[in-house]
Amino acid sequence: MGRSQLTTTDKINRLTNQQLGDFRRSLMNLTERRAFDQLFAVAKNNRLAISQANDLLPIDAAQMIMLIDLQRQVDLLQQRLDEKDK
Amino acid sequence: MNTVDGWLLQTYLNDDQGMTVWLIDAVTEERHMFHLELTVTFYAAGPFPRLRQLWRFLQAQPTRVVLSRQKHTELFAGNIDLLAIDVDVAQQKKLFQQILSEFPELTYYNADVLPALQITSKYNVFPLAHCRLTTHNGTILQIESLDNPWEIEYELPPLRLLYVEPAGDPFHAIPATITVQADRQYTLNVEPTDMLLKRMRAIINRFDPDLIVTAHGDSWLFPHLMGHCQEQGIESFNPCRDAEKQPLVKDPMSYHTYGQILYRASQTYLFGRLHIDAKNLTQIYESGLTGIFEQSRMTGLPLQDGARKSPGAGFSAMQVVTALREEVLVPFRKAQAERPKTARQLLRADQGGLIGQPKLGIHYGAIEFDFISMYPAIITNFNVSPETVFKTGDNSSFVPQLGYSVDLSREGLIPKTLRPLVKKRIGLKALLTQIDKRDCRYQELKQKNNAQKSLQTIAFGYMGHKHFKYTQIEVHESITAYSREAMLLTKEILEEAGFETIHLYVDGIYFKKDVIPDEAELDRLQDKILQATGLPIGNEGIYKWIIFLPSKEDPLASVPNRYFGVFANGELKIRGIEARTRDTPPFIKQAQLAVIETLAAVPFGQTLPPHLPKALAVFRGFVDKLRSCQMAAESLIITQVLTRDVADYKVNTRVARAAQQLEAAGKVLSKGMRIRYVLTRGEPGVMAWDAPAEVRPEQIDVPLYLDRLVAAGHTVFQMFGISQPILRDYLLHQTVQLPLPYGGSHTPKFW
Repeated sequence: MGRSQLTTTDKINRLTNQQLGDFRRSLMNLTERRAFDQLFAVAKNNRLAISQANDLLPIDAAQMIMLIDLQRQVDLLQQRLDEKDK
Repeated sequence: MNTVDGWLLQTYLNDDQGMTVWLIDAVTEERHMFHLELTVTFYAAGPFPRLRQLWRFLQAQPTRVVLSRQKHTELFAGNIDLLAIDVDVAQQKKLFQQILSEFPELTYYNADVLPALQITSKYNVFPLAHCRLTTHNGTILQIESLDNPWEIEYELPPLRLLYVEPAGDPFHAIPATITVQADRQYTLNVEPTDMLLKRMRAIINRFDPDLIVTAHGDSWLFPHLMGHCQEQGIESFNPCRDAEKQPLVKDPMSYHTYGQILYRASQTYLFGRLHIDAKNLTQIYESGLTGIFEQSRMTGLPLQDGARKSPGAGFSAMQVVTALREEVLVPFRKAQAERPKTARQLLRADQGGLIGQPKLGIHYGAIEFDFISMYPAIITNFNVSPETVFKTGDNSSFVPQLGYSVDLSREGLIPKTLRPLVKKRIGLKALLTQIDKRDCRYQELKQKNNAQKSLQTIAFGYMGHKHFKYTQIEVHESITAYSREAMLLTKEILEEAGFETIHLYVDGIYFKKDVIPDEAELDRLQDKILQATGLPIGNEGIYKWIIFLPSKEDPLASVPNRYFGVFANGELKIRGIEARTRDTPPFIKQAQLAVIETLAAVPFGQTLPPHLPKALAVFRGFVDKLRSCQMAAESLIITQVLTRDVADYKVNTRVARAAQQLEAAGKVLSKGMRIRYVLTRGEPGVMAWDAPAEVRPEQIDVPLYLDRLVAAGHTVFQMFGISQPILRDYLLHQTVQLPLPYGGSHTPKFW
């Protein structure tokens, strides 16, 4: 446990609750807000990787994880399409 | 001259000169008291003119001292010039206090070493050590050790134990009787106190115990008896064997440690025999005396101190003994400051162990590997010590992620201190896996294992602790960096072997694959991990099932330390849920555990959902019991720590209200004390359990307890898709049908 750093959980909570709190509230419809929450759920469930990205800002590391998860889902869908085509 | 073989029971300072040593004769079993002359040396360093003034100051003192100029090794600065002061051990503390007030700016070494540790380092003996004394006219001429603290199994002396236990917690109400177990059992009335005193004196005199084990002896029994003598002006109650000494009573205190506030009751130390209060022990020793004996043998700390102090004090003592033996100076005050770092360096370095987020849900056939004594193994295997980090020698290595250099050409002080402990623990763990759990040695070995574990664990934490003599934060950072690297390497090896990692937690890793691997495959994996990381890893076992739970606040987010599961051998592992948390009433703990045990009985290889109705029926039994008030009020006690003085509570919380009731009843409270209360109907909503008024069943706030009980049930059932409102309806009203996913393998909806 660090002595002077916020925990990764705190860093992500700060992003969602403070820095991007109004951003989330300003999203015009429910599906967008749900998508926002799902993306940050991905970040929260990958705090270990974010904690090891010491040279990045928390928002950058969180976005990187979101991109990786989206790519993973694209791969999964692609795989299903390929299986269907066979 | 005489020679006596025996076990060292106790050593302590005399008032004027030397020390007293108590020995249990190995042949006659007599208890001998000897005198030991012991001269100790402490040092002062600083500008030569001031050292000369100190020399003249000491020559003018009535205390007899021998002064000399010497050079010795300071851990960080190398050889330094010192003024060495040889003085009788009994005079040292008083003399040093005088020097410190006259010459506060000088640097001192070996000035606050406990006398017992001086004996340990000089003669290689320790509490309960088997040894041989050569004596003349009651004075010890020579001490020869016949024992080794690093033996796993050893012979203990034939101690005469006296157990004293009051009939009830004296904080709750003055007990009517106390039970004394000596050569036979006695039940003594507490009132009249004169009679109790007389009988206690008679039993102690006749039975002549070596060790008095009490319940509440520190906080109540001894202060009560000694206070009574003082009030009545009668002969004082003296349970010491050494008639020249009176018991030493230390005042109660509250203190902060690792973010917690703790309370320590007053302490009564005896001379010539020992006193241990089973209710005033460091928590890790609550399981028995074996752990206390083991800890004292390894650390050299006197038994009465070791039982009451934290493992940190034990580790600190071990490191002082190593320093004395290696002739390295022990600083009076720590002097090393943190090295300057850039913000980026700080971000990289200021981290703990690797903590992952588990994959939520139920996992069947998962395996857990744990690094064996990970941090101590890192310290010893990679030679991480305050004087080796940032040093380069003929043979150096670099800390992963941080790049700090580590000198491997000489063994560091901390690795040297820990190495025998690590070796002993590995041997002990191997023995524990070999012997049957029904073996009479098993419980004793487990207690020894716990005592060793706490010393090893603290060894890492102490590297950055303000009380540690050689503390250096970069050592702390290096150890965690090595651990993170080892965990990442392990994860990669497991993934390469076709496993999926489902959780990582500091020194433990959970993984699985579709087919359960055999022992040979797991052995190969362990070898591969050892090769890659340089650290031994153990196989904790295969789980029948393990359930990782989400955060209470966010059901989508997994948290590292909320899970429960059962190994193939039936052993439970529970972390972070109600059954483990201290503020859960026993009744609710019992209910949750009963449900988990029902699920634990499901045979290996079967899925859980078909067995849920049985588990729900067990849980419903507890709900019905609570609704009809069939449980004992005592099982509903909630225990919470008083984190501040009662008057300082700004919000009138339950614990504050309970504490107010206790104060009104005349009880003296301090921060860190545990307050027990029961939730009751109406105002003020709580009743302090230790207040004089008894809790009647009709006063209990059953609906509030039901809420907590249902929440505890939900913790267990939530990953089967059962929400808390539905569970509540089902249990209380039976108006809903549970969405039980019967049959087949069940996958929670999160994945």
